[in-house]
Amino acid sequence: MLNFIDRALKSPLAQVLTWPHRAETYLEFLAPRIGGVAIKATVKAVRQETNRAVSLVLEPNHRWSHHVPGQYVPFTATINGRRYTRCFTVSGIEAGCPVVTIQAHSSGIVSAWANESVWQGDIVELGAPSGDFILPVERNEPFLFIAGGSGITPIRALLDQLAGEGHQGQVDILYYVPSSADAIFLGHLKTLATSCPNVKLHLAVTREKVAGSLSGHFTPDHLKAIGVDLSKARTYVCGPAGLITAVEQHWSNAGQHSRLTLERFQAIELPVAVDGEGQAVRFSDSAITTTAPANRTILDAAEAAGLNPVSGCRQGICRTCTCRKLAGQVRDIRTGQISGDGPEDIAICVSVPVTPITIEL
Amino acid sequence: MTSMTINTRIQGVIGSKLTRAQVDAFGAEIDALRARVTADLGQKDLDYIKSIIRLQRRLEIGGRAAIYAGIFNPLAWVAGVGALGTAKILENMEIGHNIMHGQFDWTNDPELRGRKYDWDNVCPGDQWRHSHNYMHHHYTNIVGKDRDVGYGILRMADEQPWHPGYIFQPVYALALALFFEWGVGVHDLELSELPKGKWKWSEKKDMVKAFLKKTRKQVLKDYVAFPLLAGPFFLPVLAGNVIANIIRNIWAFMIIFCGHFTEDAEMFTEAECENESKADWYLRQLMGSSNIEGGKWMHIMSGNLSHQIEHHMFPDIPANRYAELAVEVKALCEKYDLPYNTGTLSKQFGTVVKRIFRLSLPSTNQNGTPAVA
Repeated sequence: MLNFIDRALKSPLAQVLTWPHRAETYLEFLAPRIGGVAIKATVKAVRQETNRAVSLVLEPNHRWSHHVPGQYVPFTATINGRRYTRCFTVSGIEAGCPVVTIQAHSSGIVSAWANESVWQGDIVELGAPSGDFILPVERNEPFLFIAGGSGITPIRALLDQLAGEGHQGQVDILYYVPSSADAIFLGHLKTLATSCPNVKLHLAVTREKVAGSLSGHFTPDHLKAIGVDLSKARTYVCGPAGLITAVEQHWSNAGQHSRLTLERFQAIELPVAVDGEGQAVRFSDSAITTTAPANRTILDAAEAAGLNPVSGCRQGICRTCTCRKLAGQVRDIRTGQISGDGPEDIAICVSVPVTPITIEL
Repeated sequence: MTSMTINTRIQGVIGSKLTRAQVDAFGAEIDALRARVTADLGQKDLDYIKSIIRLQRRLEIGGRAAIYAGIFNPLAWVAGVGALGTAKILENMEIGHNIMHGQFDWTNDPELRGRKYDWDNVCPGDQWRHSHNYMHHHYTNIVGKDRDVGYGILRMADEQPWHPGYIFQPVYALALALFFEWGVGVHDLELSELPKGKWKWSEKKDMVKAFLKKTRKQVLKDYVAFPLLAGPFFLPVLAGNVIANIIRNIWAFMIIFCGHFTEDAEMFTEAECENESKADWYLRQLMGSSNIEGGKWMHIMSGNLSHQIEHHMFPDIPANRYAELAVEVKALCEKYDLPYNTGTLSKQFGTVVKRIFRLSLPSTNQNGTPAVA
């Protein structure tokens, strides 16, 4: 029925009758959960996983189809009136509802929101699932899963898939956490290891000594300690940049890089520059990268780079020069406010880059 | 850029009360107001505009349904036309006009993007963004630059040279009020400049095409598709839609003319505004704009253009903040002994009508100073 309504609203007649607005938006304002074009999901349950990680059980509307375990979804939350989009792994499916697990990090707006301010019943938007961090079709080799921190989330999805299929081959989980209290899904992983004789869990704690656990960051010695031969195992690694680099290095040295499947986290935000530092500006449509001199606006930088963007008042009033910022942060020269780091429309005549930025121009 | 002198026109109004330093201090206080409100924008502003859009959608759907129900009961037709007219007013003024200023760009909501939004009338969004956001808001009330001064049809400033055709301008004004969306629709084309040879049709092919495309879709919706769906009751639905559009036209005309053409709203020459600083620009917006007093619904239905002064100082701040800004701007005007032009709709519009009649005749003094102080 709802899919029929979606199709009807896309029909030429509906578009004529609601011009200049899309017909879908009419339903969106009357019934936010089913209207619009995005996959809307209601937060059905919030579960604390650790002191700084929560799982959100999301009840999606009719536009959610399915995902492959290990994939992530673009996740859009409206926080204090502003929309932010981040990608999070679907860590599992509970009664048909996708679950995303989000660990707070120091400067993360969305992750802080998910951990502190989300309410049951809140509506978020999901995009189409994507990602190649999925199991191979042939599963006759031993698996080694290396996770760092919240990098366990896609790995849990893969482990649950294997367990669900009754996979009999050897599975080793090497899980790096700062302290054992930070280990997400620890109970679940332990249960898995106890109930399936082929699954072994190896916890590695980087910032404290825990009896029975490995300690410190990844070293080849850890592989020896857990008795895994990297040339025999199909290895999946997901975690912070440091872990990925160390693992890649070791596998490359052994000539086995092609047997690694990697999932990197999104780049951590760049430090915001103080006044007086020039910044790299990339104009994506024109494929030009230039440096904006200190305290000069993006409009100035574009013109200095030979571009001729439309502009008007040059004082932030008419917004003729509005462009889509794809990445990076800017300072509004009128108020000193620093923008978010995601895609948004900005008036380039009053915006000075404070990190390297990409502008759709 | 800081100018040393004060705009002579503004000096003429305020006398020698303010020094350059005081004007700059006034500008700095207005800047501080902007920074304070901008930093405070958040969920309540998003919730506000969404609630208005929700109301507008309900009124539009309900209004169109009631016009159809007019087949059974003429009173439903009357209510439907009223609701549809109201919906169109809300869509054009509190929603479209404000979103197209980029007031909600900070929300990052795809439905509220200033650069992409198009509204429910025959004026293409892109042409409006040029003629209004830039030409009108940047060059406010500068005769020869801001084409909103008379829309190329009316003589609204003493500085516009008089010719005998203006004798009938009360009639032109009435026609403009009835067909206001069409006037706005062709505004950016500058049709009145065509006979003077300022441009050729070939130069504006794309603009004309965009206008015709927009017009075709508007006409198709209101005057063909919805009436056709009523089958044998084509004509009552067509009439209802025509009247709803005219209700919106007249209301928008009244509100917009009250914004800059009340008797005390100042007009400027280009020379007077040379080397303006930001503070001078604020003063020009203040002197050239006039507010309308009223309750909550007066402000909502006018798209908060009842706070025209605040809108012109802060065109890209969400309009639902103008009421709180008005309190502070008014207080600053009192502090600096500056005029603050405000009054009820009937008082303000009365002076607009007076101005239309007065300027239909030659000004007693043609050298640029107003005939009536």
